[in-house]
Amino acid sequence: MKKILIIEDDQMLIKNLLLVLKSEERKLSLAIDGETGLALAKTEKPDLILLDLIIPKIDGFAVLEKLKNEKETKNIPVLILSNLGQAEEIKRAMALGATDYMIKANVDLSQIIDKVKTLLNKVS
Amino acid sequence: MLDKNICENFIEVFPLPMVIIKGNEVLFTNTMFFREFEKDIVTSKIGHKNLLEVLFNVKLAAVRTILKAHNNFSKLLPGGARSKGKMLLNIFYVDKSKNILAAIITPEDYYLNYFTESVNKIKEEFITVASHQLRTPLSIIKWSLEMILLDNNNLSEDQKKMLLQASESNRRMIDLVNNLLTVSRLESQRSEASRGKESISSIVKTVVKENAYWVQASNQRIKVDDKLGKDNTVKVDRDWLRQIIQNLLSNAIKYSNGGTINISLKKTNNKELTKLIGKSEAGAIKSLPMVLFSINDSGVGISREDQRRIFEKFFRSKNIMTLQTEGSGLGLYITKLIIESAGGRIWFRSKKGRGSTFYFVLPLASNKKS
Repeated sequence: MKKILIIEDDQMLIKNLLLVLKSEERKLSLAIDGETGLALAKTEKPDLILLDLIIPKIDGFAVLEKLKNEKETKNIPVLILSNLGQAEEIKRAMALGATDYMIKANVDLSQIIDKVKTLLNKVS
Repeated sequence: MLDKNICENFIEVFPLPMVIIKGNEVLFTNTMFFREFEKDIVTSKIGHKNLLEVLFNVKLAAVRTILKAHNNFSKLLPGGARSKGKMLLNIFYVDKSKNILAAIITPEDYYLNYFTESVNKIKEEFITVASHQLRTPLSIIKWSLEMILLDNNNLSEDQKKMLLQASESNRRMIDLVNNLLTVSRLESQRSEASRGKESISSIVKTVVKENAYWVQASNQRIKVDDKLGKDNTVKVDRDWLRQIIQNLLSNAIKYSNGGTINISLKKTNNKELTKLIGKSEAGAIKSLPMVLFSINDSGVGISREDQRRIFEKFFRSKNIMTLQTEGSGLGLYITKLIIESAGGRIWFRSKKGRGSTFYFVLPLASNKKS
């Protein structure tokens, strides 16, 4: 069973993501701030992390940096799902080791599902 | 009362030319003032009396009359010795008894820089607010509608229609936010659009797919004729390329009623380009080969008088205003900004009532991989 960790603080977006990603072959876990996200990444060892950038406690960039600096978490692919979308922000996230970057308002849920499937298949 | 020395020191270190006048006499001038107007002072041989009157052609008596009603007198002056642009003269009272005047001269480049800096700061803040605070609720609406429409068996036809309308309005708002962000960015020239590399064929495919609902709902068809083959990568940032195609396609859909929208993609060379846009325009484009994109609709077209203004910011053509009140007048302005900053060109052919064809060229990225 593949494990996905969602780090996102907006309740409505969480509901949407959980609904569309829910499946018998996946285990979903959720963190609504950066600190919890980092802790869960270590204990759960997910196959994929969906990471928002503006989140409480530790922001997404710092979370990404920490994930990529830790031996246990550095190989987990991270898909950034954010509404920040300036070129600098995208560049910064990719330089820190994000696998891909999607601007929430510009993508359909179906595109997210497709991306998640592709990224999980790569892990196998 | 402040010590006279303190006042003099303050005036001396003040970074702009400044004069203090008591009655008609000049009390102090600072070095900045002297440097800027030394030549005029020497050639006109004026003493301390009537310095302002001679230098700047202002009558102090008249200034004092104006200052009775206003706190500040200002006048634009022609350039001085050091500052070539215009200068702004400000005169105001510095004492309660309204006797002592201060005149400060600010060169245009100084106040313009100051102004530009604060405007850019406001823009930066706007970008952050717009990206996050506007886009987040918009994504919630977008995703929720998508989920309901995906599983729509329990909905009546009317309900489906209403949700489609909501979805369409949501899409329009997202477009608007994206457009405002792009304008803000391109106008502050913080980046060039040519940073990225992207397959134009796949972006066209994606955008066409994203608009499928809307096209069907307005009884239209889209035909894509892509002759690019493997050589289909252009030197433009992904999101901006997407925005160009989205803007042109949504115009074609919005401003026609039924019919087919034809999109074509092919390679072009200098010779062909010269035929299309003339020698001088084609010659100005250095990077070749290029991709030529065209989108043709059988819609309302653009009247002759509006054709000249169609790429202006916030411009909206009269005949489309009667057809469709929605629209910001930003789409084509942005499309042109992006294409040109990526080293391309955009143009169109149109006849009122007969439809329009928009063309653009963008530099092909070389396929060589090291």
